[in-house]
Amino acid sequence: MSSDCAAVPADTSVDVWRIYVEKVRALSPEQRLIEAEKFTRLERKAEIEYLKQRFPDLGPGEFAVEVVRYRHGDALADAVAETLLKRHQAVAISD
Amino acid sequence: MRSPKHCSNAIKQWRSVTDDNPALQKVVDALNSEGIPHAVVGSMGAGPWGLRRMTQDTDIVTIAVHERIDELIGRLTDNDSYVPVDEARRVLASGGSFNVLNLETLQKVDVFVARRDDPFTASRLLRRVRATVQGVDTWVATVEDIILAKLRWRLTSRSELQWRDCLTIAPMNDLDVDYLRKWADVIGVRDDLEELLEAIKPLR
Repeated sequence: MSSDCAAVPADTSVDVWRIYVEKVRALSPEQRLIEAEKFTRLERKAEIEYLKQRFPDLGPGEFAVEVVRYRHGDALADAVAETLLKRHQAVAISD
Repeated sequence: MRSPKHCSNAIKQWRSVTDDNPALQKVVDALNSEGIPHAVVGSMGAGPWGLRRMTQDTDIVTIAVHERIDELIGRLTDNDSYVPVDEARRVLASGGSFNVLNLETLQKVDVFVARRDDPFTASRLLRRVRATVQGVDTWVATVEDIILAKLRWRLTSRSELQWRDCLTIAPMNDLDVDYLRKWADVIGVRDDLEELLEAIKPLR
């Protein structure tokens, strides 16, 4: 099954990958982009489901911060948490 | 810092999986309104060229500006977005990168700002092609420029993911090899390019 060709995934034979490449080559750039976006959407759904299981008790805002932390790291998550906190305080004062 | 409880009061709802991309829309609208050329690059920009893999953000490349920076910042910031304003102001003037995060969808755009004398970016922006990316009418870099940028990024990051992306999209497209070689010499990735062209031969 495995291939010695660097351009072919390790678990795929050259023949199978060549067929896949030909199929993609036959698509227009617009069609390829649509397929890529479908794939991203599916992956993102799976990611959110995983995080919901990991953080079952968080409210929407806290959960959002944890999603940012998972995707983009602590620095951006902390900055977002601070932004949301300021926004909450501003709303509280105006109320 | 852990997310404080108060955050839940600041966001009542957010959209976890969307077909649109408000963060990208905001950046594109802001750049368009100031007449600043730009193009989606990176893995999202490689979508039209056959790449299909999960990516956490959208990369967009543009060039530094000398004036109307505050107006541009004003167009990027609103209640639905997180933008590090001081950093963005500095980067837009002199080059670098900054983030725009939409707080409704948690989508992030990385804005890469090239200096005005960067010839590779000038060429990328000249060759860009129209595309609708996640519902946003915008531009993407050509497949050659996506490959060159990924090879350059791999030089500094040693990212195997960038190399794998190049191996994936190169055989799926009719490449302008002369253009690739010309710019590979300029940006210092000629050896990597030749390795790539050799690697994809069995698939051509």
